[in-house]
Amino acid sequence: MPPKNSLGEFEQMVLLAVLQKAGDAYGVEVRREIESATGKKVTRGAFYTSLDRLNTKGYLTWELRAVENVRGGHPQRYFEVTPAGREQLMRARQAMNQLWNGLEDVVLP
Amino acid sequence: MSPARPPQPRPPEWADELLRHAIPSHGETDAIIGDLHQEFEEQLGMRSLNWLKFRYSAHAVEIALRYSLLRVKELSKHSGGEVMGSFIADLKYGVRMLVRTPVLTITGALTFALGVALTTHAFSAVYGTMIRPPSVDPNGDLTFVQQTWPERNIPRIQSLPIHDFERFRDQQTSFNELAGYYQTNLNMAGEEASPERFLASVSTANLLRVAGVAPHLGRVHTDGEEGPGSPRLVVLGYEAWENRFARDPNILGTSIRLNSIPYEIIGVMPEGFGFPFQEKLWITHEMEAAAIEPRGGIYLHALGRLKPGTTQEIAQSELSAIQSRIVAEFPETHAGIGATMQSYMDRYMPEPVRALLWLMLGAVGGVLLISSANVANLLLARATLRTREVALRTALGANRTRVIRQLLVESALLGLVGGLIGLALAHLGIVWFNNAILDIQKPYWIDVRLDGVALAFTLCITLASAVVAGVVPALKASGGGLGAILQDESRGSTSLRLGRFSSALVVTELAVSCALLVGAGLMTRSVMNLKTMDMGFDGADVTIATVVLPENDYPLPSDRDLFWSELVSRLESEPGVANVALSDFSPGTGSQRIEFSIEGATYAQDSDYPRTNASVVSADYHATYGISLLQGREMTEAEWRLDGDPVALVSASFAEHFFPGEEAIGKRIRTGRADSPAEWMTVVGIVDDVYTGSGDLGGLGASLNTPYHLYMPVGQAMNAGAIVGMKATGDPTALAQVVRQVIQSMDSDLPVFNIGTAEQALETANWSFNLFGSLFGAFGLVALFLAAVGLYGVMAFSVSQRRKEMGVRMALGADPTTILGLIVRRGATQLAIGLGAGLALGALASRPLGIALLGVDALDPVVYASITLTLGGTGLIATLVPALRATRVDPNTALRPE
Repeated sequence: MPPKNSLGEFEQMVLLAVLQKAGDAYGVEVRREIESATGKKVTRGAFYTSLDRLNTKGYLTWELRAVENVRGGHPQRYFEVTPAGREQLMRARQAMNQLWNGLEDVVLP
Repeated sequence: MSPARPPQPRPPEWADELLRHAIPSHGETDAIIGDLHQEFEEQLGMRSLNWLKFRYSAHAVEIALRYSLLRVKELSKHSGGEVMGSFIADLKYGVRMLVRTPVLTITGALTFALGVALTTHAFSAVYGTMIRPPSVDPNGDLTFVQQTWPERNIPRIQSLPIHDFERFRDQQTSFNELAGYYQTNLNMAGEEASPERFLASVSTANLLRVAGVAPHLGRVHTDGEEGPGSPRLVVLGYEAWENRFARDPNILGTSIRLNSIPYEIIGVMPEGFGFPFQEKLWITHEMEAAAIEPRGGIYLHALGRLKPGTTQEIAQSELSAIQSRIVAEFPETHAGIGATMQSYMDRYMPEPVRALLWLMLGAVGGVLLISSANVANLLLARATLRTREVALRTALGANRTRVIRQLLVESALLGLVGGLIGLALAHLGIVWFNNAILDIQKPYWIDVRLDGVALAFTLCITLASAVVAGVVPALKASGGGLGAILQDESRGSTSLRLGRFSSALVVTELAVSCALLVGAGLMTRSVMNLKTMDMGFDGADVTIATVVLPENDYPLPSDRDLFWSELVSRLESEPGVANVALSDFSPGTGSQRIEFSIEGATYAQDSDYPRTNASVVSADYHATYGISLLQGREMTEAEWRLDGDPVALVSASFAEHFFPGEEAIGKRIRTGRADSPAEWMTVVGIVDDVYTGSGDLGGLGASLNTPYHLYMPVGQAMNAGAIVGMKATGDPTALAQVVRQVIQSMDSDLPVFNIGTAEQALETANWSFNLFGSLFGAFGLVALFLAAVGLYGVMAFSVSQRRKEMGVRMALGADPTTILGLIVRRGATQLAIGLGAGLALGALASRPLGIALLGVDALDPVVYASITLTLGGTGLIATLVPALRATRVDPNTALRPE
């Protein structure tokens, strides 16, 4: 079982997508961002449960915003990555960079 | 009045409910639902609504499953971790195994799906029509007060004359209150739309209060708003409000014309409300009881709620007491009449229909059985293939229970997938069913849908059948020691043991399918008969219309007599009309059933009095409807009118049965018993037998009617309503306009309705054959399909098991044809046993079908023969195909070690 304070690959993508969509970081938009980047479908179940997990770990927060006349009246969630989340992202990035070092040409010459 | 906006399409409610249950409270359920809504709304207009709803549901299910799985994992971490863990491992393993044999999995799932779909559909139909109490009567205390006339052998008179009603209303204490009503059709006219006819209730002021449903807008009638001189107020049904007034919120107080009389709208009832039957408008009556003679006037159906704690017995004895006081007060008209009751649900869901629906549920249960047997066979086949693997694992330490559990999990998964598909199919079936019964005259509260109860039912039967289908194969596959199994494998005798069980399953399947097909075949034949059978009359070129003379305008029999004779002579003089006749029923849509006596005969007991179907007709009735006159003559105009000499005509069977070997013409008959006040009628003519039909029940039970028919003159009854029949010389549809015009010119306020041909009326009145025929036909087809698939699967499997044996035989010089013969013989034996048992079972089960059959004997040889040929033929093909493929096996391949 991976330690509680690490980020899975999909969780990283979720946080990054939230950051990419800053200003427009709502549920549907964030999921579509991931799909566009990976070129693959993202199942909603995995997506929403990941959001909850990230929240529990303290890397992601959201605020409920009421709407009128659309979405059947149901509120929207606006997401934000917490400072702790940003830190974890940087760490993951650094780890990847280190592991990738010098391998760009090796992986696909 | 502003036009209403069409309602915004919404995603399915149940999906949102599912999410609310599946997502734990700290998840943001509302926002997730909102996201799904957003995607739904974005695509509106670009994709079909059904597709979008389906997609919405699929996403909701996917999310719900994911959250549920998460919860299961969490649970497994906290408690009984190991048990949960291994269970999840079993699940994953099961999924992998199923995915590895896709053909088997898909076949199994589809087979399950069909069985589950049909059973759920039938259950929803039965539940929605008979078990779930209508929301207006949740405790079953809504009851009708009715009368009986045992002397005239009339067990139930459904409505009461107004005098009787008032006495019951004032004197009773068993009910909260009694309301009275009668149904009629009213023409609504106004500037808002073209005139339309609605079924309406004309009642006492308290009818809607007895219903206990609050109006959607405004109010219902209050006490005192009935009787002569009362204000003319109408309560609208939701449909009328929506279609004609675009749900105008300011509708209250506006005036509309009902049958040319202005009424003020005081309220609108909620959507879907149609109490007591299918009414769309509610007004109060204007009768004045004092001005009406006893047992005169229009009759009211009396309805009320029993007070809590009042039993049927108490109420009945009170009603009987009140009735005896009425009899004492009006001895000449009321002698011999008693009181009785009928519950609201019983009134509208009569016994034969109930019986048929239960039979349908049973039939469908049979289909489920077959499909479970099929799946069991499939699993058995697969378990046999994996016997080695299972045996190895058992030998290597896996305990037997675990192995069984794993196999059970696989069959449960199959059941789950099949169940879900089945649910979707059931939904489609229910949509079709509701469409099919849309035009049938049925109570407004019948609601057949997939609700919580149906879903729970589906879940139970799916699990049950999955377990049943999985248990035996699991037990058999995991039994026996390793050595025995490995040895047997090479000789194929394991397959022999399993083969016997498999054969038993197939024979059972065949038997049940055959029985179902028998039922389906009989019903299909009935449906065909409805269209092709000689009914004894010719209705294609006869236009009919119903006319009802309102009480107030035509209070006396002589008034009605004048109107009817004037109407007949005016219509007769119209070009395009060959004959005109009046009657209480058009042929094939029902009739009265009465007791009568023959002059000169004596009847020792009341039960000795003969009974017959009877119609009230005018002269030319038989000529109009093309019923052959065999002997004698028709009535003359003088004879059918009010003061005419009483004459009658009888059907050929009537003459033969009641006057065997004698001349029927000249004999005298009288309705009722020895003390009857009716006049003696002289038989003047004999006509051909005619199919009578049975009006209330859509034709159910019609085949049990006797062919005895008595035709009495209108003058003996002089009803307020009649069916006018006109035989057309040219196009019958042109006469629709003619009859309306003639009647309007005689009385512009008179509604004329139900205009059509006599043939159409026959079809409409006999809807039960079509409905049940389609239902049973569909079940029969599914049963045939499942049986064929099952038989093929088993044959193919057993052939593949004996490949080695056949290879050996062929290598030793056996002729492929002999091998073919061996295999086919085995299959044919199973087929023969199954068919035999099935035909016998079918013959037994089709006894109760009798009421739903038309012109078909429950043991009809044509049907049984064609079923045998169809099923037998299908079975033989299912046996031959794998057998033929087997003979092409190369002996070398067959003999190679596994």
